[in-house]
Amino acid sequence: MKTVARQTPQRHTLLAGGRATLASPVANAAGRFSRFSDHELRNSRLSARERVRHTRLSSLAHGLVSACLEDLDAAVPHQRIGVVTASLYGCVEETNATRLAYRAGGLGGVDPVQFSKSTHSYLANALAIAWGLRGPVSSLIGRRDATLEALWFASTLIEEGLADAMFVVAFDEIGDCARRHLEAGGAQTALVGEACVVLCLLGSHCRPGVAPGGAWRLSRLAGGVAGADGAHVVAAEAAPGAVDYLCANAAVRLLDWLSDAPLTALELVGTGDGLAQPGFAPRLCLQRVGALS
Amino acid sequence: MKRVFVVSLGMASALGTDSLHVWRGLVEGLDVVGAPREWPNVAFAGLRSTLVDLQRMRDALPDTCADAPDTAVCGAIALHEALHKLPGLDRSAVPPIPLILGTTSGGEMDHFVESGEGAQHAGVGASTDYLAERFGLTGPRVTLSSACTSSAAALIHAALLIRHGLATVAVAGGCDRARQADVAGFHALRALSADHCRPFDPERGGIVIGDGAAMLVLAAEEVMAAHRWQPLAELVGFGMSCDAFHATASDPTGIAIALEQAIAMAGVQPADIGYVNCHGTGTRLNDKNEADALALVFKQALPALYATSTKSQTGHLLGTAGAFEAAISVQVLQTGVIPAMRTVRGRDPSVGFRLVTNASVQTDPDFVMSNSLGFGGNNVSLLFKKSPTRRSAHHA
Repeated sequence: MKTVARQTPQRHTLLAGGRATLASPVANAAGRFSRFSDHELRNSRLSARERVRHTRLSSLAHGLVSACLEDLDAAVPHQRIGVVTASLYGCVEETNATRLAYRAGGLGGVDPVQFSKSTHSYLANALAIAWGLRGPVSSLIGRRDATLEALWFASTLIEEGLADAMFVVAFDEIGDCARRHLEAGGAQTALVGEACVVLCLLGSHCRPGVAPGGAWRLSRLAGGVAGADGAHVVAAEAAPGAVDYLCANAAVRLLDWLSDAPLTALELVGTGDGLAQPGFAPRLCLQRVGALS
Repeated sequence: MKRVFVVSLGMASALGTDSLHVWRGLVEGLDVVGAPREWPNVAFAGLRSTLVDLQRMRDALPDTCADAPDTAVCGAIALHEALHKLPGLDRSAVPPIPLILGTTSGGEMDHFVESGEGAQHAGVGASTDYLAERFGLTGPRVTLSSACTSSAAALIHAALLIRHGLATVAVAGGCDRARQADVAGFHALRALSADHCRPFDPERGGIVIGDGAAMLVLAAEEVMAAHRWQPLAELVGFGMSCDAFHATASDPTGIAIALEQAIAMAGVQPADIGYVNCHGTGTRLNDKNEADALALVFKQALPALYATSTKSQTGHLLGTAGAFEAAISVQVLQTGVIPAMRTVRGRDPSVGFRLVTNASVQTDPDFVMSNSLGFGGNNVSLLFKKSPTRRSAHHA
């Protein structure tokens, strides 16, 4: 039987913008850790009923995605938009809440809504449900540079034709589990803070005017391959002395560099740090295709 | 883009500690459902599960993984089998080999939180780290966690690395260990069966929880040829979608998007697919919605289509399910045999396709689809094509 595989029209992926919310280190620090305040978490776009269905950080992400959708200005139907999240700890605090509920109440002690929140893709799914996003939804977890893998994964899903736009949400929540694990890790850094960053990836075939200030073409570098000439190389980790936003560091640095500096090319290099052991360090290249406002 | 072939696989579950025994158990209808022997008897006396016997699994570990944390034991067994069956793998001649795993539980965070011990094995990515380190897989190391679609999504991630020239050999799979709190969660959803998992049966009563691991080695065509590996199957299409509907209930139209993407990517027609390995958890809603989705996609081809859920025999392996059922789908292509769902006694009115119940069927399909559906409406569809070469029957 002869089959003819569908040929997706040649397309590449653009980083068309992003939004970020970072826990204020000055106002909210308790010891080494900075968490979002109740005020920062309050999302006025959510009704009280809707807020029950959200976790601490998914309600934040909801507001950021809302702003990104406004930026897209209906260029992509929601049916063709997906979400990939990247996080070091994922929804471990919700998972722990389920574990504690079981410990306290036994087999009948777990609330079904609480249980549904303890899957690590809950934040991604909550966004998809809230905004009717029917593209691919996935969740990468467990490494400080998971954001780079998530950006590549999301961009490739666009290039394969499974979506026209993807939101990459980098976040980390510092609750009891994460704090205990970070302290057990031994390394003492500057302040560690919660963050939620949404990056918007767009297929090059979509209406180009969605990012009035321009966009960046995203690609992945294979081992040993040099990046673009004159590319500024940035490590996907907190700058020396800056707040460590864990998995969101890469996204925070990316937005900082792309908006503040007159760059034409940027190479983002992963740290290769897992929770326990170092490993492969992914590298992404971004080349400006217009001025970013 | 490069073609992606499955060149080896390994499996470990209550059915067996290697893919041969798992396959034989499936085909022969081995019943491994029972009470979880390692959990508190009083609380879980009525629970039916296919949880592994951890000591039996530890006895099957390769010597190099004797120190494997509990959450990585099945993964180590499956990965050892998958790599051991690849003669002459010259790692210096290929780019660093990625390990892409799907899991819901991952590391031993519960133990760490309880005791304060074992921080290095805690965290969802810990099993991936351990296995990559122990088996010398020095390429991209990625853990995906999207509930029941985790390891199916891992297969797509690995395939994309090969398709886009960033790897020529990649390992992808699932490795999960069920937790008591998770079972309590399914109990809260009233999703657990009191006896067996009976997918698409009008009297079905829900899920039977299990755990285990499956690993598949994917390779690009040129590397496969250079090493003279015979392909088990080719991954010719895949799809990913979200229902965007509800946190725990599914929507047939969202499921259909993923299936249609996989079919379109492969350039085939629905009628070309001879067998679908369904998610088929045995709950009332999942099975009905999935049956409706198949009807939307296969249309006039539905009555001739064989479709089953091997969860009838394996139980629901949570994050491992996607890769485990992909491995089963590859073995269906290799042998031409569709294992029967021995627990199923009737056909639900929503089912328009052909079930395989009393006895396994020899059909020799050219294309097999494997579908996974997860909490929140995640959907992943994988489409495999038969290899022109076959290994011995009942052994992949």
